[in-house]
Amino acid sequence: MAENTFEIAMNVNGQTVAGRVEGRTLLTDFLRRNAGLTGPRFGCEEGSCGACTVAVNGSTIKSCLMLAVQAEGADVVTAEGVAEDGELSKVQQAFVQCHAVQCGYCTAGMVMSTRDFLNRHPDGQFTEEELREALSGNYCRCTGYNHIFEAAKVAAGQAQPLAKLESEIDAKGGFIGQPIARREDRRLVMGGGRYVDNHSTPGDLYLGIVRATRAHARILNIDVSKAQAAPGVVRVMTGKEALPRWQPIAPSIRMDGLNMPERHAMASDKVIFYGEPVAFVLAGTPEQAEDAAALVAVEYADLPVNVDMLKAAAEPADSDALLYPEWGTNLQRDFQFEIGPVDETFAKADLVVDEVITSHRYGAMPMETRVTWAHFEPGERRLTMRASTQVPHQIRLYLSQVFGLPEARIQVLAGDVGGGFGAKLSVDVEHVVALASIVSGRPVKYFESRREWLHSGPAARDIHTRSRAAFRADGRILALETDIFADMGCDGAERACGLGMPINGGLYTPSAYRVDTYRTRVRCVVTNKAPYSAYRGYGKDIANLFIERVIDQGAQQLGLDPVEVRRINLLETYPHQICTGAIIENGSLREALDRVVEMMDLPGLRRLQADARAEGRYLGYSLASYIEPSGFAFPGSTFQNYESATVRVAADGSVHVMTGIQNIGQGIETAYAQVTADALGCALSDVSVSWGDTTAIPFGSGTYSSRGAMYAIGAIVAAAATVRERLVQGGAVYLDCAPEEIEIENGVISRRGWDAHCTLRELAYAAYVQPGAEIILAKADGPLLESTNTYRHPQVNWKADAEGRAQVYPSHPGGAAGAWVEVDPSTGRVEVKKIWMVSDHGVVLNPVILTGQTKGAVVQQIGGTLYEWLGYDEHGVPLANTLKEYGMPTVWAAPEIDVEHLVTPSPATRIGAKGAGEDGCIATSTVLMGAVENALAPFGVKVMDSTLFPAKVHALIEAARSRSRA
Amino acid sequence: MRPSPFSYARPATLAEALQETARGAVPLAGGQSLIAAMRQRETSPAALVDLQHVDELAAELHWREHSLAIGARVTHATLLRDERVAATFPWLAQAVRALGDVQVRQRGTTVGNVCWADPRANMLVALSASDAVVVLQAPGQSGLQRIPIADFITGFRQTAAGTGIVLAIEVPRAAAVGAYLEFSRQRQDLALVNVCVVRQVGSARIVVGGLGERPVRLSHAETLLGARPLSAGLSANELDGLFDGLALDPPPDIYAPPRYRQQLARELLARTLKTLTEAAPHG
Repeated sequence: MAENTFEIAMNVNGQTVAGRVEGRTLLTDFLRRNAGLTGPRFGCEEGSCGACTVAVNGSTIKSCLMLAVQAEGADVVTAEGVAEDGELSKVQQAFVQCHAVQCGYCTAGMVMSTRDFLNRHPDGQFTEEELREALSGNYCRCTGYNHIFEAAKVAAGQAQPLAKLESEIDAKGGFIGQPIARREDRRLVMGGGRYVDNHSTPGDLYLGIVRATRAHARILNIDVSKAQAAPGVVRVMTGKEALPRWQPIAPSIRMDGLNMPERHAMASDKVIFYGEPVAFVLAGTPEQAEDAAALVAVEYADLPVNVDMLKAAAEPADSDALLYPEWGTNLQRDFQFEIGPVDETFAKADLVVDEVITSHRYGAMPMETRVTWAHFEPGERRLTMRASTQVPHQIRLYLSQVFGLPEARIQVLAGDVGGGFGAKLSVDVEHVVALASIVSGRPVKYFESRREWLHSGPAARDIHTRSRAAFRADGRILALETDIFADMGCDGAERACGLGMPINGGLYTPSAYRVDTYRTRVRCVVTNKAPYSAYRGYGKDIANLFIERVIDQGAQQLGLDPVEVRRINLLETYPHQICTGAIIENGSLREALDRVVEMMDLPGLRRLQADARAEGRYLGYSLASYIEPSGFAFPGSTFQNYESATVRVAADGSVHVMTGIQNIGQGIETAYAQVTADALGCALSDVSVSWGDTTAIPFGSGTYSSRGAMYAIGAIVAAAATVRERLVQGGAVYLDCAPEEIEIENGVISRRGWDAHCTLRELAYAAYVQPGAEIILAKADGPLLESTNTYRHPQVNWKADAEGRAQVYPSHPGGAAGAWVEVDPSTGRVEVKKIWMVSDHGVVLNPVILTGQTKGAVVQQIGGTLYEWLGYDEHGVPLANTLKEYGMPTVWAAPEIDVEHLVTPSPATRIGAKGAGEDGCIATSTVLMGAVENALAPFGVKVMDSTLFPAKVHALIEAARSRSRA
Repeated sequence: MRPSPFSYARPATLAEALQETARGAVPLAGGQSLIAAMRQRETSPAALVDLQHVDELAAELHWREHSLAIGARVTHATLLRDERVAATFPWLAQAVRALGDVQVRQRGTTVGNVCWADPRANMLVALSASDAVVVLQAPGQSGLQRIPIADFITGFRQTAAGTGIVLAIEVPRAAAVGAYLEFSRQRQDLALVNVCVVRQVGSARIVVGGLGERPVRLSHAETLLGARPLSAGLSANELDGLFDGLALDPPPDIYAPPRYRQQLARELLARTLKTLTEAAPHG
């Protein structure tokens, strides 16, 4: 290759940065490698996501679409450089005060675009339309954009902050329940954060993965000679060569009746999906790794490709089309459950609704891909991995199983994670990174490209279900039946853990309605697609479709008000056992439904609808109840019914909390500090929260199923209670009084009714050093101001009853949702005008964080319903190569969202909190489908597919028109 | 993902730039489509010649008596900023406003958008309806070639530029009215279909992007409209008839089957004409 390098220099945030670059070196790379910055980031390959946004000579641009050499001599400003006098700039401060940050991966770019916009509107006068236009080049996957708009308005002086700074909080009433601005955000708005790619070591090698270009084929030969000879290449290894070095991918779950693949993280004999790794290349730079990976030539012999799950499910035992011939079927699981006289009840029903309900394939699509760094030190036989994961301890276990290393010699580190949403429970490509380091003895970094995520990353939804309901004439549901097919892609249990989603879909279809006769069958079908994994909602979303859509149909066919039909079927007392086993402990589902009806003002919407129809416009509304089962704990899995925490008061009085729950943007650093400060009686500013280092934190299952507010907090409260009791004992010695007289509040230990007190800092030093624990903690149950404890949720029950029913979800938050849409019949475009959410998650830890979670999930699900698609052609080739093609929702996808919280404290958790964070994904598709159907009622359109893309909606209208003509 | 290796030249003069293109180098203007495609390794040119420092290529708009010249270094942002564009060629302003996003418009050039030759490219469609002319300098030739934009685009992402460099695109100034409208999945995405109509008394130009390998002229509709006053559009029947016999070979789009795109085009055209006829003086 012709040498073509350039010595360049530019001014970056006021400093001259020089370096030698290739012509192809992207400005983003120069800023990260040569200027040592971390704010400009890669989230895509097409310049759509804007995570790389910087200012060059005063113009805000995408640094991933500019060559470094083009910026020679330029003035470059990044998020690291916009602080004013060492303090956060107005924009950065407003992001913090509006909870405009969740995972933070997009934040540095978003700050740059917002800053540019406000600079162009120095008078602070602008419309929301102008603001959205200015931010349309920046994607955010977490926030649903609404809080970012608020931040811009606050920075412009148009609005008031949504959150309070810690310094503005009065500790008197306790910290739990206060809308405190997140402490995570300071580093994130400044372009920092502890993402994997922000960590490099000298001597890092870069991994390129050679991926299958066939969906189902035997590998005949792999020629690595050209790649091996390419510049900078250290090692090339095929899946076949790797076989003796590792075991198959370790699954997260095992159960009877579940077919488990035994695939290695690189294919060796045949490939089962387009994008499956078949070889890796290790080279000195990411560019060289990519160049060399492209030189590996693979010869295939094609096998029949499964892209249609219904067809795949019917393949005979000897078919060439089976992904795993040893199974004799393409069914990974065939789950069945039945209770009550189903057929008899359907036979005597006044009305049977019988619908096929479908949902297309899409997924979590976090802004940060599966970036991984691994270092195996051969001398020590010790493996360190930095991963973008929700489950660091689970990864440690999997690595141990795959490579035969003792867990004690494996350290997994996960810092800030750029979005998870369930998708980062899956672990497969990470093993390739570990293998590459083991065979090379060098630190190895892998930055998964967006295209790789789109082709091989986890997918969700994608179901085909026959949903039947037997109604009595008054609207009572007598019985239900669901027959569910779900497309697992190549797997939903080994490399991924989505298999439980359709089973949840089956088990939770009865929802909170009083139905005791039900049959479900769930067929989890493997096809030649990327794996199927957990995604926010985890099947409670499709369950919601199956029940709520048939209720709407039943109401319509019986001539009843759909709200009334819900009311007469909803549970009347708590606890309520769903006929499939789960127990809804308490809640306010009826109140939430009533409140949503009130907020929506249905008569008002009907008037608007009628007026609009008179003008040829089509508006529609819909509402639904939902439940949000949380805290999944399953036997035979890495999803256990406990979480752990350590609470430590150090000798300087600072408080360190360590938890097995992983930060993925949900605000644990702030919320857990609030709880700890209340539980311990210390100041909020005393508390620091750590996670994600398996050598430092106690073993925990990690982040999934909205469990942190129950499990981590239970463990923190228990550990803090132990430490607090020691502080009481120590305080009694220090202040020379009885322990019963000791009060601890806001970091001050005092004797009740006396003017005698000491600070936590003084007492801690006394306990550790002067005079020391033998005196200060002589009467305490231990000499250390530290405790590790766990929390087990008492509402989990793994002992099945006679019907085979257990309780694997201990908690059932819930509520009601509504949607108001406009449909343009001539184009099929659906515009979401408003979403309402009333939810009950028990005691609220931090209302601004909770609202942010709900709004973010709503927009995520709007994206899934209106835009996103992981489609495949008939050869199993993925259709989406970029985020634009995938349909990532932009600022324009975010409607007005009204969120209210009701509070029914959990009877079981330590502070009464239940799970939260998934509800926006559970009912949103349902109410959008219902609202589109309602809008298009004049055409007689029925909406049973959750794919509301313009062409699809347009086709529904066309079909209805031609039916009515016929 | 990052581009394959290439050699990079950054000449200061047009003559040097033409030497590079003569040797096969691909011109790099704003790079907002080219670098993205190179990062995805959809295209991997062996050599790029960066036009950024060629002062002979205008970075500002030149308003002449009978035309507007958009030089090769004029960015979308520059076009959008100039109020005379919205006043003289409102359809160009509408097209540029709907293009990309703030960051992309800062670097992307209007000439580059045309040279990328995607049939749905906003500026290509809008300039095609403007009767624009591409001014091309080929290496080793003293004179300039002036090519009507419709002839310049030879296929899907193919142009007649050869090894030449487009110096500018000239838009004739005429007493015309026009409008640009697009349908994309989310605002500012690449359009599924876009329509631009420019009308004068006695003539009309209608260009649709997204229906073929190149932007499509609707000549029958142009004839009908040309014979009518500016306050008159097309009837529903006429609109229906326009697309019936149209041979279509649209670029693939996973979200828009060809028939749906026809229906979109009909709808967009109807809306565009409605806007224009309503704004026209009646009687």
